[in-house]
Amino acid sequence: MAAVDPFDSALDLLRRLNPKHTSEHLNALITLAPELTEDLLSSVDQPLAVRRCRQSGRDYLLCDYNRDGDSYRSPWSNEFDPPLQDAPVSGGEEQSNAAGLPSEKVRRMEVKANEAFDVYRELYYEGGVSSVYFWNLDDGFAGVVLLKKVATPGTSSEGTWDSIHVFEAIDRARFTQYNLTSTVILSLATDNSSLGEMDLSGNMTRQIEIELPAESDEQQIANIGKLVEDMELKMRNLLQEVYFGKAKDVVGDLRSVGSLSESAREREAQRDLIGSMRR
Amino acid sequence: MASSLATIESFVEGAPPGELSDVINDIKTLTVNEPELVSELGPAFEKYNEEQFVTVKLPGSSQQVVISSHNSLGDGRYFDVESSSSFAFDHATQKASEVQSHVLDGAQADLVKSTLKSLSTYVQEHYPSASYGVYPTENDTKIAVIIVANKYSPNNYWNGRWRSLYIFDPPSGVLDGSIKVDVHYYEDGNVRLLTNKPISGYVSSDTGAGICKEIAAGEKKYQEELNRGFTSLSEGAFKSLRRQLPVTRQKIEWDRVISYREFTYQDVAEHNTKKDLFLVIHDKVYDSTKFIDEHPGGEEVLLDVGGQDATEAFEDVGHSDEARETLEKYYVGNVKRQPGDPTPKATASAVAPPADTSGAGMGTALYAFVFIGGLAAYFGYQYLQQNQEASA
Repeated sequence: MAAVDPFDSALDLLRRLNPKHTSEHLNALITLAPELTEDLLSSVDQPLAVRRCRQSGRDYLLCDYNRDGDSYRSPWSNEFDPPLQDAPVSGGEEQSNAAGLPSEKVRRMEVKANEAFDVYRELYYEGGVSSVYFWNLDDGFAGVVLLKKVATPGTSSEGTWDSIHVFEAIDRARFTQYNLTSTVILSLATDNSSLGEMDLSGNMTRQIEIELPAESDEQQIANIGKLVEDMELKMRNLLQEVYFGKAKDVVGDLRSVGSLSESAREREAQRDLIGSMRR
Repeated sequence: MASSLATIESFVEGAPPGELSDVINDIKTLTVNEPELVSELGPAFEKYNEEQFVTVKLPGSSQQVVISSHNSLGDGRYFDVESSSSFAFDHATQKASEVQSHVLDGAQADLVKSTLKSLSTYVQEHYPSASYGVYPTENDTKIAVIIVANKYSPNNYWNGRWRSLYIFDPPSGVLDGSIKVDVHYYEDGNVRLLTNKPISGYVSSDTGAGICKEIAAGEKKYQEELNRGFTSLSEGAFKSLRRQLPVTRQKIEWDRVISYREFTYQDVAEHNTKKDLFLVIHDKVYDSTKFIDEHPGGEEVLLDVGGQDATEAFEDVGHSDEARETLEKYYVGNVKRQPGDPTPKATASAVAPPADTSGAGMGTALYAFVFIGGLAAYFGYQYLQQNQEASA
């Protein structure tokens, strides 16, 4: 028997244990198998933390892609907080530098993309926080689009939505190839005396690869916008189906509200009726 | 190492219905350098099996019997009332062996048996596949009623479990308990439903039938409540998190969002020639360069107001709704008003987008108009907010 890769086992475990506590399970796994730390942190999506930008006063989202050590880069100011020890110089026209800043060209696109997804966020989420981070690739660029919304506290049900869209935009001869991996982390809960505790939490991931023409930076951002918008629509429908359709159906499979013998009799009567009509 | 053991014990405790063996396999791979750790999981397995009401087939029988702390005899042995037997249970392999005769006697024996009989009828009526048990508990002063239903469908990436536990106190007639539902869906993700509903009831007649009637009523009420819970989460929190489509019911026009700009009057003033002509109408900026030759009123009037606020001129002519729609095709951004700029005319409020008349069969052009209106309102709102913050 071939030895199983511990990394695969760690991912399998995270797919089984309560998704509401993925971050705790992740920390436990890192303590158990420290050698997996980097791989796990870069491939496991966790709920996004929010931080306020010191320069602009606007909120932004934290993830592994705008992190350098213990510092995070604000998409609004392009500054790290807390400031990096070796102050990064701007990445120049073509190359990103070692400190993780995108090149000037890619940063300009990042600024545009943040503005565009700000509009997207307002139209679809009517609140929440969005952040877009880009970085250079040898043959194109890559980025992550983050969206977070917390349902209004104080109501009887609580909820949090985190979207994480990681993409690569690779230059080809006549088009750009986009590889998009999207994860939505959705946590819902309600607690009242007649229902007791009800927690419906989880995450789902989808991938897509597509080739599209992109002749300008604006068109690149428009392409990414459309891809993310289509993906989120698809995933919202999927989440609706799994959370409120599938989960409810399984409960109905476990226990029947109505009497089983009665519904069996009704089915029998129906069969008889259909049988008699055929004769 | 105690902390590693505590970690893997918590993994065992959190194993979803029907997936304990998968979790154990993962743990084994992750602790391959410390194989002794897994062998120390015995107490964790016992806790899991007793809390989850794991079921087991007795050798030579087809009936599933329940494992719980209420039918434990100690030393890894458990008893089953219906088959009047006791058996050894291996918590690691979940296998039963060494079946012996075990006849129930004691103060609660009759109530246990009559409850078991009524419970059997009830379970068959409402659970397609469930195991159940009734046991004397707390030193034979009370009785425990357990129902557990499992449905595993690993090929379709879902598993589910329903657990009910009730403790009946004969002298007071109080029936306390809890219902817990656990559903796991894990195709391309990991979704979990976990519920916990405490039950507190009262049984007036001290009989098995009375107890089961109370249980049946409580479980029916709970399941109906849970079904309403799905609806209220779907209609409430879920909808408030992310809309399916924007208010306009149209997807975003990304090209417009990206080309959207904010202009100052100075910016606009630079576009005042026939080859490059901007107009401001109601604080919105239009690039009318391509429209000059098509303007029904001629090019002169447009050139007269090129690079300026044309609101008054536009409104004085009394443009039609069609003309207003045409105008929106050339929308490129909004004016960012600065001190000293001309103030908007009072006639601004006279402009009502034709959205009021919206109904079935409206063209997409109108939706585009509505969308841009929304966009303009959004940016206007932001602009106001920024101003407020700046002046605060």
